[in-house]
Amino acid sequence: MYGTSPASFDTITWPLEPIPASGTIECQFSGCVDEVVSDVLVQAVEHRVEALGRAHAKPKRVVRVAIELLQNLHHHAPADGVCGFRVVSTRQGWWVASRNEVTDEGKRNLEERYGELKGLDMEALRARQREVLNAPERSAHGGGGVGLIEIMRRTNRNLALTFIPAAPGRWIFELTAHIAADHD
Amino acid sequence: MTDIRKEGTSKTPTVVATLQPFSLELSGRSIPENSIAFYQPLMDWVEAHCGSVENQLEINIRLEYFNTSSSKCLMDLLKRVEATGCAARVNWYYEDDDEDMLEAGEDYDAIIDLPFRLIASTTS
Repeated sequence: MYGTSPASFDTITWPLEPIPASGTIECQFSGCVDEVVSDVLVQAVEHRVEALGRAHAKPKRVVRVAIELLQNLHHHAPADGVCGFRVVSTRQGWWVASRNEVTDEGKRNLEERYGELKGLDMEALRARQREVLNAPERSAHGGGGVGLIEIMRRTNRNLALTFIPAAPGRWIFELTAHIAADHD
Repeated sequence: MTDIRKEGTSKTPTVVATLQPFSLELSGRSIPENSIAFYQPLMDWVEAHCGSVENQLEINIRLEYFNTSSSKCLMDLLKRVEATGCAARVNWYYEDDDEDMLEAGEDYDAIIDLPFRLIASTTS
């Protein structure tokens, strides 16, 4: 629990989800995420993943999760809102975390969507992703809501969603995804 | 509308769509912010030529990364080819240690009713 006091990006430490203290921060950003920033961060993650090599985890999988989280920040955070993004490596694998502010409605939607998916095993998640891919509906940004499923599949369902009260009707939402090392 | 040739960028794939040979190739990465706008010219190209060219359309997909909005556009593109009824074959390339791309290819293969080949390439 993180208490019920209002929080802001300046007053909470992160990542909120436990990450081994021995981890190395490979990339960290705080600010508005636009197309250019997103591009730079993807390249930064890619560079670090390649530099550390394959022993840590499947390198492309880490980049794929980072791409999805940054896409979410760009598409769903308020245009002038501050976002956070952090990538940590350990011998156990990688943690990729994003943080942005959401409204009450945004929180409800995320909890509802995650609640529908978290009980599904990997095969069921794959089947659901195929359904969404095959459906004619699209989201406002073209994905049709397949992003969260993709992150769950790429992390073997190792992700955590955390909400911290920030102000009346507003929450800081953090999503932490763990990509385990190959040797785990 | 004839051939399409677009150089890839850090966010968009290299695209080569030609009538001679009749082929459509995407390679690199597809993580544009507006994937619908990026893929629309390819949809138009398929619409314009798939019904009129007699040769089989060879579709080569060699993507390293694609975001989820691109995955939807890619599905729409393949469905458009399928809907025209033209002869086509999809060659889906993936690095032999990249099981994510293999799974993605299998997912498209399961949905799209076109001949589909999953082709592993050796990791460089």
